[in-house]
Amino acid sequence: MSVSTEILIICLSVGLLTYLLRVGGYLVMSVAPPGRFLRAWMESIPGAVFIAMIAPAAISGGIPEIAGLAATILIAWTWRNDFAAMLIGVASVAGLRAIGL
Amino acid sequence: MSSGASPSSITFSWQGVKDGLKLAPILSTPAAVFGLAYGVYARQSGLNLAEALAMSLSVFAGASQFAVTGLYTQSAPLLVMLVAAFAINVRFFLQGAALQPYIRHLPKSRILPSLFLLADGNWAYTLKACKEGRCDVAMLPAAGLTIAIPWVIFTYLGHAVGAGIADPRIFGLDFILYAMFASMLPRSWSGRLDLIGWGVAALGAIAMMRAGYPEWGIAVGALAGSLAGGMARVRQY
Repeated sequence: MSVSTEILIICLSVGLLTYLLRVGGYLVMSVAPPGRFLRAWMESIPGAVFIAMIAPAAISGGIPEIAGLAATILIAWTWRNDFAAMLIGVASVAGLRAIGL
Repeated sequence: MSSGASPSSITFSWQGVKDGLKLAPILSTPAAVFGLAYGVYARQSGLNLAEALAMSLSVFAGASQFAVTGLYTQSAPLLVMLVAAFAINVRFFLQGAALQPYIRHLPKSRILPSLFLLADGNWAYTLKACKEGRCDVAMLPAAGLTIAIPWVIFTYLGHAVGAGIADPRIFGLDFILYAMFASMLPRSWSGRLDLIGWGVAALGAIAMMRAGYPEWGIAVGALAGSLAGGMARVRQY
């Protein structure tokens, strides 16, 4: 079993990009702290990513998927425990599908 | 930012390694569960065992691996994968910048390899220790290993048990990716102004799906939404 050329290119380029981000904040801050807009932009990225990921799933999903997303967000918000929220979200989707929704 | 960052109190020693390894029970459990889920997901997405392991070893960032693997099944171009990975992993840039005052006086030969193991959990504990004046930066790579080792081992196990799962929908496994991102959403909330960026991100992603390019959804939604959010929030900086 071997790694296909396509996957190898994906791993190397995504891996390198991710490593550059890991060292980038430290290296850039040592030279010149990023300006106001750059910081405001970067701080806005995580929320935008999460929404961009789940919005299409929410509008194209059925009852289990919508309920699962709502449960996950609600639990993460109230309990402040992302991991538990994720597990309960997945379990509720599985449960709702099992009863035929 | 400068408080507690005097170089004399900052170390990189075996004490930090010990402190980092002590975090194993807290950090290894989620890493194992996510790793298992990733192994299953990678197998369903058509990656063989070597490819799934290559991904976990080279990228070592759960959410972006799920996203990139999902894009691979949609035959998305490499550029789309890179934009998605950038958007998901740009938080590492911010996390590294937050650590910088504490690590800048340490030798690069130790910091640059250590940062390969930067993940959400070990970053949070290391920064917390440094802010509290117990700053031994060796905690970062040591605690990072308590994440990376189960991450890789359980990617392997997930890929192995994935064979026995006939229909992943029954266990909701196809939903893990969405649940992971949904669970991180509340933590990124910083105020009502966020709704501007979030609204644009949702519209962008939904528009790409409706237009028949769902694989572009994260990239376009995240870029448009974050730029809108950045413009809305720039006055606060």
